[in-house]
Amino acid sequence: MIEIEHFMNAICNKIPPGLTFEPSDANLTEYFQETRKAEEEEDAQLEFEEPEKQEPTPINPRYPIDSQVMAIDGTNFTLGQIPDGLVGALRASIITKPSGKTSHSLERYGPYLVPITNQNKAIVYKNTFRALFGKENKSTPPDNHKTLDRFRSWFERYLQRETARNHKNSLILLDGSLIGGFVGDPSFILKGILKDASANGNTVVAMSKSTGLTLKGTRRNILSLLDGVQGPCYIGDIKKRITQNPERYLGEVYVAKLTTLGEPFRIDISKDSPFTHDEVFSQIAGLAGDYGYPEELKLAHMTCILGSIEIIELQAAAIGLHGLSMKEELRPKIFPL
Amino acid sequence: MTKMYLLTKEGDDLAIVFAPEERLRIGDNLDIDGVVAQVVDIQFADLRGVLEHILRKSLITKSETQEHIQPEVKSIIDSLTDQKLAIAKIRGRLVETTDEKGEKKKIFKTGLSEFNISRSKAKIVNLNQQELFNALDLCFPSSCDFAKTLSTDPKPFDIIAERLGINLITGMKGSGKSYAAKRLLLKLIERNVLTIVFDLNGEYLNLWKADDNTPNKYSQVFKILKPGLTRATAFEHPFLIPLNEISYDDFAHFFNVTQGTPTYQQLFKFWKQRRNTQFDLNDFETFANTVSFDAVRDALIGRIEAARALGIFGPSTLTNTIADMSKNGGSLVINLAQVSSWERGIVVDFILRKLTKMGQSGGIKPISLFLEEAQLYVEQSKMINILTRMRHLGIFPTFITNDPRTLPDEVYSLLDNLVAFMFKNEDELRQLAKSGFIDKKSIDALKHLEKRQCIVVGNLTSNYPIFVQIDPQAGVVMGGETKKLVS
Repeated sequence: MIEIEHFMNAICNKIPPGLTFEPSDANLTEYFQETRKAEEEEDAQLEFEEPEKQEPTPINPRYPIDSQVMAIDGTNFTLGQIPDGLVGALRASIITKPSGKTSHSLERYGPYLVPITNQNKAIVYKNTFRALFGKENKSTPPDNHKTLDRFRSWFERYLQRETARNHKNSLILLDGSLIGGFVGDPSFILKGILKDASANGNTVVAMSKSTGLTLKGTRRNILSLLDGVQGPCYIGDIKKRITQNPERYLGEVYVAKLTTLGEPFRIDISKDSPFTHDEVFSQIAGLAGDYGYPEELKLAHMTCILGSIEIIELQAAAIGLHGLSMKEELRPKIFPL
Repeated sequence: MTKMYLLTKEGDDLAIVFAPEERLRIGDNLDIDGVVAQVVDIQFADLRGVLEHILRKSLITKSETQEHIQPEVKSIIDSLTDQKLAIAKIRGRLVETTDEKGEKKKIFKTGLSEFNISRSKAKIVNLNQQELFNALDLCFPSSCDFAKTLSTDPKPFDIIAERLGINLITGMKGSGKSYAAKRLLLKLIERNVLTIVFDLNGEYLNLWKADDNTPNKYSQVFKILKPGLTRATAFEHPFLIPLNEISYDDFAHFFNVTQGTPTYQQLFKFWKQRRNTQFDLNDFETFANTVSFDAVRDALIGRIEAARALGIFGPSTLTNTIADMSKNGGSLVINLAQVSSWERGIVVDFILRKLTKMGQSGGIKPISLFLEEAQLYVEQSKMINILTRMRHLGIFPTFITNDPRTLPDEVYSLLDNLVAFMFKNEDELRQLAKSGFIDKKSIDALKHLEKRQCIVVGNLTSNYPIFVQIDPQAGVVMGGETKKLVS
């Protein structure tokens, strides 16, 4: 397990007891509940020129039996509102398929209860960043919900860095992209991850189901490049066409379908992989299951997201731990029927 | 503060949700704002989303999972998944009254015509066993060691001998029913009651021993009679029936002499001649030899030889033995283990008639009768006779069986006490519900009982079903004469 105490101590801070708590809805008919990850990319408002008609490159799927595959994902959820803030929960998973095997193991971190208020936000923000990356973050925290999401993003980056640092010759799969250089995601973090990965012979692959990259002419999402095309195949040479802040893109950018009838994904691959990107596509296509998404990333996602039952348990834990009292809802009083 | 909440009421079934840290088990009695309900089943609370939650957990095996959870959160994770649902039967309510001395006390009343319980505010607590016993007017003797209640806070439970009547001890093989019967027998000895046991499997033959070589404190009041035994041993005596104590009709019945035939007429003639005198097989043989018609004479001699070969006819002190033992109590075990079903019928029939006669004459104190698997040696009509007539003569039967379906319905309608051990078979469980003491759902709880755990209900418990575990008996060899294939 990765050393995590310093992060937990920074983020699981105390708030004054006796505050009221208004729990978020946890509908038991919806088994899993999650907050959409914020897209830093959209903030950057990137565009790139539409490439000339390009034939997709076919992928030859090959299950990477001889490679260790690791997948990392994280989640955050707002458990409820307190005066001037919220109590959130964070959890992240690392799935490992060892070399020579097809079975999986799980390292799971969390849930951690994270109270964020207008009063404690600045200090928790700074302490958490320092605890994870050993540096000061001079930016001011965004609103409470975005702060919680940023903590999740940093936490994921931290786990990615430790994985890249401590494992060799592995295929490391991430949910998201290989973009850095934002206020909340300074480029030194991702650069460090990619540097450590390269030094250890690891290949980093980031997959995203959505992207803010759009074709300049039509304003259509770049995933539309594979509309009507049957996989497995990919389209490359995208990064060199990005016109805005291309330096933030720290890997090669592709659009790919990993199975015949799979969904298109944006896929970023680290430049210093010991394999050609063609070979990397073969491997991740070999791992792809339903909808053309790698099983390991799917498992990482499914094991980290919070189920509605867990959310109710965490709400109870938050009430007990922080001495909160349930806020009486005004609505039934006003509208008794 | 308990974490139990009333969820639903359907008929007299209450569904109560409780947290995993709450200790609750089958047999517990709950006080729900004065309403008394007994836990008869425990299940998981069926929350929506639990299946998905568990399926998700099963994606990666436990051995391949490592977790780091915030310590303060750890205890609550999975607590919702582990919420339990107790099904509790409403038994009645506790009502406060004032006794003759002006002292306030709680009494138990069955029925519940009002149901003013709040789901959100009702205080649900595990009812103190002693409080329940007091309300049920159950005062156990000081040496209360028959059993312990099955509850989160077990309390001693004993047999109040005065409340015994027609009893049924039942349970599947190996459930502990014979053990309980033997413990009851020893309790009765201690209360100076004579118990006559029809021991079909040699289960009671060692009760006089402290170990393999040493007699115990019960040995002086313990007697074993064995049909067919030619000579008395240290603890076994031959069981004999004086010929003059059975009728010619019985003899004809036992030895298959058809009514109205010349042989039958000769039987009748002999018994008439010797009426009110003592006679034996030798006397009968002398008479037979005087019969002139060869075929009849041969038929009579043949029957006499068969009776002699059985070794069960001869002079007997059974009447005196029963009369003497009934004064101070004890146990008279009739060892039927190696006796053919035909002989068994003769022996049991004789004893039952003897007891009836003695009971009618008023010469004996009340006697307890243990009938192990009675259906194997008592005809249904005679069983009903035992139930309906013998209790009025001071003879109280305890039926012991591993198949309650073998007993006539009259047993269930006249039963005073039911002691039921584990059963798995639905038919047998349904049969037990016929006693009317207890509903089917509570009877179903027997499926979950362990060895020597049982439900006791009837006069012994003021008709409140009490789940108990039979305590071990010290200083007595409780095992029977069972032989093992491989030892």
